[in-house]
Amino acid sequence: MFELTENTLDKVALVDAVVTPDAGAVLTFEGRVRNKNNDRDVTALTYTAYSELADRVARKIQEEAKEMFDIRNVAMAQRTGRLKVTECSIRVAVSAAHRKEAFEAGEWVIDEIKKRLPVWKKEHYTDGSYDWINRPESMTDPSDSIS
Amino acid sequence: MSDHPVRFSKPIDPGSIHGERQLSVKYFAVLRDETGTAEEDVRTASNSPAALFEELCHRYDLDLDPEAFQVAVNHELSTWETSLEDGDTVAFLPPVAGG
Repeated sequence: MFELTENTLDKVALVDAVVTPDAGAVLTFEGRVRNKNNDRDVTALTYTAYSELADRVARKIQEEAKEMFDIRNVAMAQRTGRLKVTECSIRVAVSAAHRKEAFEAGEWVIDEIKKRLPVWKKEHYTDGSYDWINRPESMTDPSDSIS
Repeated sequence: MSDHPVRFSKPIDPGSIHGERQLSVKYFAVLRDETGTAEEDVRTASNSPAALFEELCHRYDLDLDPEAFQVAVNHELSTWETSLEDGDTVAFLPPVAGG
């Protein structure tokens, strides 16, 4: 299961999607909006996504996780839109027969999501300016134009 | 022949006649800010994402290193040298930051 949504992420649905009779371990991870990044005070993050490609990349990450780790299921949900500090932006659930595989696969999956899922975030600061996370060096810093 | 032979004659690729193709180009994140658009139709002689990227950088007066970006053609990650066909959708992707 992969969901890209502007709505609050549903933890129960994500867990239900990975539970199997032979899975004794279900690991869940959630990422939340933090109030500081690189010493700047953050008020919110705006997430945008390339949905058609995100579906394909998410499915590929799930298939690879199942090949690499002895797990039963992987589900993930990414939120888009403007999220305030403390709101949940990403959820991952992994089921496995035993906890060790679930922990290992869960860490791998969230790392791959951050590296590969076509999602971008704009960080809003307390002074009213903003910047794109991972903005290429050669591109204009939008916060320069706001004083 | 109709008044619009290129438009209605499916077997004839307009690109092969005029050396041009009609593409849909999608922009995300910082590129969307810089171009001021999320998606646009582009009629172009560029026949690869690399050539198209260069053309669009010139049009929008952007000095960008393509190595910082990925490209997708028809919603699949692609190489910069793949051949673009009439009707393709091309997306240029700044470094991602999901999670």
